[in-house]
Amino acid sequence: MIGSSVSGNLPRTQELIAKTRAYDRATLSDEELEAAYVEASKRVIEGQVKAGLTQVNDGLLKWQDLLRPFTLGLGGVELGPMARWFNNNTFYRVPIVGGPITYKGSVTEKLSYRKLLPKDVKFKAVLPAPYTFAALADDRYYGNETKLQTAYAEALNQEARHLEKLGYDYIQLSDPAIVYVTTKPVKRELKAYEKVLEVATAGLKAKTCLQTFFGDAAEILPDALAYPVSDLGFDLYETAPETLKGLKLTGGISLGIIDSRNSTTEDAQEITIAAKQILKTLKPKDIYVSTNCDTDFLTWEKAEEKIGVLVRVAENLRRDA
Amino acid sequence: MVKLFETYEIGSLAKHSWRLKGFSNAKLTEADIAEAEAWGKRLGMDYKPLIKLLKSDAPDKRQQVVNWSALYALKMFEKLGLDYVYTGEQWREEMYAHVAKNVEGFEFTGWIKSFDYRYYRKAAVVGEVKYRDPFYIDEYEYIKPHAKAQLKVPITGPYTMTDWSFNEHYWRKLGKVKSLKERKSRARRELILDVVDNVLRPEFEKLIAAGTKWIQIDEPALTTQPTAEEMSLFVEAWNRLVAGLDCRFSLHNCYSDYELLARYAPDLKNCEQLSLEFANRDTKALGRKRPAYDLIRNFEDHGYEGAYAPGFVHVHTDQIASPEVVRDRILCVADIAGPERVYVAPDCGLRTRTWEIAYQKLENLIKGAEQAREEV
Repeated sequence: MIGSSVSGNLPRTQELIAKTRAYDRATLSDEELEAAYVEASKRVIEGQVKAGLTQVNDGLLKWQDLLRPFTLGLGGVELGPMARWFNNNTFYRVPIVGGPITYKGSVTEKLSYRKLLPKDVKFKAVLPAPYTFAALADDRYYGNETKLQTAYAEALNQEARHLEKLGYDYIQLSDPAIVYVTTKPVKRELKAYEKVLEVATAGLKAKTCLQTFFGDAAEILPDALAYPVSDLGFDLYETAPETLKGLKLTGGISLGIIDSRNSTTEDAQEITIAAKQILKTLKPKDIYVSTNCDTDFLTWEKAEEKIGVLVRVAENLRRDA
Repeated sequence: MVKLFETYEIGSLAKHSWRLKGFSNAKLTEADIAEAEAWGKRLGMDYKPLIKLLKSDAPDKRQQVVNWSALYALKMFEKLGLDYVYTGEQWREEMYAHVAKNVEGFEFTGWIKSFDYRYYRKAAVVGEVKYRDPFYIDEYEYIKPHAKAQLKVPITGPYTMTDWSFNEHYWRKLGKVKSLKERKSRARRELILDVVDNVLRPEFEKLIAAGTKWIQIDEPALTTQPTAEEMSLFVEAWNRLVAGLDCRFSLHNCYSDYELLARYAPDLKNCEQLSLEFANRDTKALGRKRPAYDLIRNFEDHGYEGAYAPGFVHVHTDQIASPEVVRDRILCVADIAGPERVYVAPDCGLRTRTWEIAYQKLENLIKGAEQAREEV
């Protein structure tokens, strides 16, 4: 199967941005802001569906950062100071883990516009992976990275199961920290992470993907091949093609081949050639053509153009398969 | 005798509502006018022509309002008694946008999320980066005859202009490079070097020819990409930017990874001083032993020989550090680097504070420097 999806969130539209700024200045009511969110969510869903992506998400427009729903919604976790989001000019709030992590019910549902998604499309959920959550958290309770990852993985698993019941077919675990230059693990931690991911994905029937970005996948290979996820995702703007050469994949691959951190609209033909070059020595079960990361580094208009390219690349690969 | 602990501000001040509304031709309220009058009085200025201007429909009102605003900032800094002053960046929309909108090749794409409901205007480089309009020299030539204190000109550095922009043109140019990773890296290098050669160096040459003695290169984006490749790229761009120019140069960098910067600072040619952000990391307790400032030792250990202005006043809070805390912070750094290598400045520009808070912060900064001089 050759699919296509955005590997993360979508940008707020310029109209929604204007409304959120007005809300921030207290010149817009809660109801008006909510209406703006609904409008923008409809637009980004429609954009994905019309373009022909095989998996669609609601844009995650209301999430203030990837970790925030968990930071605010899990027991034992509090909102900490602002910190830089990897090597970007964007910021997130550090989760402070001050007690045992507990799941108190869905943390993402109230931020979701899932109901706006058409019934005949496949829903994709995007959730922060345990390694990234633990790497970015300020741990004042567990005192051990694996223990923190495992505790978070248990809560994550409950959230994923809940989303599965709501109809999500595909669950992406976003894991930038596992390949990022200053947060990447040592060899021993890579092995231990397999058990953590078993906890996170236990009992799920939906397909899962560990999507890495902002760093070179060479850092986690070949260990990551053993991870209990359906697919592995790589950022091809940070990973040299040679790294993936001849990789013995047991599942599928998500090719992060459209750059969400540059506004250049890629040439579909050029990207198809690059994808084929990479796939030449691989035998993945499934292939997903994706953006390399979240797309809120772009304007919605740019992201929409790139989604169009992404769909064309997937079509080219299907045609030539 | 050389004056120890010379003082300066980093660059930006907030813009008064009369500056913003006057520039955009929006209707001014009585409160806006009253604010212009109050600060004019406080700074001992003849502000009546400004009030007349604000109430008028003068054809060149926009530029005149900007001039007045720069003059107010200059007079505030001089009244306080800073040793080095400038315009409070009142001429500039914002440090990045000001350059991007005046240079050939940049095109704004729209608002991009920074965090929560805060956004910034991000430009894409859509063509070869070339010099188009003067972007710093006019500001300098305007303010120079009005200044009694020495001038330090803050400018936005090539690394920050590159890191904060989308790179379309140079990426497209390198279509033949097969590895996306390599293509991205080479496109970045080409862009930064064009910003240096085609944009900043020509403006630097004009500034220096017009009499500029000190240029502060602002690089807030530095260490955002914490790799050896990126840090080497920054060093290469810096050295190319300042090569052969007869001027003092300093680097301003804040909210950064100073362990990383310390390893590369000795490679920066003609970098006379580092202006950094340390007050944000420090406590308010008194005493010359201040662990937050210990990181200065890293720069020393790696062999940096220039001076430091490590940031003695926090800029992202309205709390005002006492002169005694400022004094102890200064003395702490003097103990590490020697008093002759310490300059006194805030962590960063004060544009997120009101003028009242900025005034009080700078006032205590200066008092702290005076007290520190008495101790050494």
